[in-house]
Amino acid sequence: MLHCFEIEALTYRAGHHTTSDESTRYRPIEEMEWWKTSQDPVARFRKWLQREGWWHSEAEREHRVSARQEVLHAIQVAVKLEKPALSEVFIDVYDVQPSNLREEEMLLRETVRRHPKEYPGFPSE
Amino acid sequence: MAVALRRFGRLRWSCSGSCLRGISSECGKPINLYTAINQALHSALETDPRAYVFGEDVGFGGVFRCTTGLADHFGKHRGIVGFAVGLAAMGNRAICEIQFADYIFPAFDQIVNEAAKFRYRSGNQFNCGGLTIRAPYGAVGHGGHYHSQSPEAFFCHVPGIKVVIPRSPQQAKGLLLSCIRDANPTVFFEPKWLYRLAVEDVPEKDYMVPLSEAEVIREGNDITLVGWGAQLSIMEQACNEAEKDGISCELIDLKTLIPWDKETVEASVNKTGRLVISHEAPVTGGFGAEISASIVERCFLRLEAPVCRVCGLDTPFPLVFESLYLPTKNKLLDAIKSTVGY
Repeated sequence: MLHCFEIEALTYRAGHHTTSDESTRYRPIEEMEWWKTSQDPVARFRKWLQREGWWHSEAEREHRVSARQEVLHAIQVAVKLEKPALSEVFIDVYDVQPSNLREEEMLLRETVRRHPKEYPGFPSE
Repeated sequence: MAVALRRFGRLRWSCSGSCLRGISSECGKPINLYTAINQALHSALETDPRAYVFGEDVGFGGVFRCTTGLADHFGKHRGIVGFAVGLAAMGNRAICEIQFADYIFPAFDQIVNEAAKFRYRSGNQFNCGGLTIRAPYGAVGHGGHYHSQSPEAFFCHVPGIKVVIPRSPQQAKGLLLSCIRDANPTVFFEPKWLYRLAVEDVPEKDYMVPLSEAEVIREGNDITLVGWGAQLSIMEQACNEAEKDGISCELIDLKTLIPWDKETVEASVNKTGRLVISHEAPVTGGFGAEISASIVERCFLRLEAPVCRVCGLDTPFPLVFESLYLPTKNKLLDAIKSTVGY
């Protein structure tokens, strides 16, 4: 026999819409705080783990510090990476590159060759 | 924004040129593009009790602040294009905002099959002329695929609507008011790069800039350049550089893309014999193709060189490759020189 389950998931956007949004302009700050503190599933899961004795605040602190360091390190590595090759601009538009894009790539390489200072970080290949 | 500032610096247009062209004897206060648009919307709402402004987030001022203060001043309302068509069909002025032009496509059916055909299909018994759709468009330095597009070409292929793109705060206020008061549905694309960066003296009063009239914003004799919106300031930089090499450039702001002012462009090309068209949108099927085809029809014997288009690449708008994708000043300069030296 086939059992079907339906899951209805209610979500709430606890943060602002974008960096240019100030959502206290259209909703009470108390509402946002309530969702963040008492409804956040990650916070609730942590409290449950702590109650089971499988997590404690020292572990929390250590992990936060090491995770942050990992992320910062990853950023440092990423920042030093070279930009992708110019050819990457023109691939994956289609499965196979059409002739107009081959032409445009040639013109762009010529432009970059002529004005290298205007396109820093893009080796012409 | 940091990237944009590095690329642009602060743009200031002097007021005197436009004042001489009869916009106003008083030059007004220096304000930026989103403030100019905000003023136009205030005027529209003030002068017409049947005007409505709506769109996503416009109630709190919008993500670009263009609708700041309007809700407090005039009361709130929400809904987008289909709703706007209905409102306009009942004789109201519906001014709706699509938060980014990249998101306008779900409304395309409403614009093409409803708004554009309303008057025609009803034998002029009905119309939705009071409809104006505003949307921020164009590169912003870090917008990537979905916050940088210039979709004007899709709309220029639709008889029944008008497509208008301002280059600066002073033009934006006057053109937007003309769109709002025009008896036809209009799509108004605002260059988001310039919302804060462009500052210009703008008259505080209510004024309109006419639609379907192109403007020669720089006179010259050797070559004509045609563009619109934010691209014009890049073209202006290229013209300044070309001048150093003794090339005299005439620069035209099209302003209204459909119906467009062929006569002004034709007259200029008849003078110079050369044409370069530039837009951020991809070159294939871009609106430059229409301008090129029409001018070749009209000026074939006068042309000294093929009409040249300096446009975006035929790829989705990239993120890290933005500087390679765009029609930059040096690409324009190369095109000017090769067209003049043809």
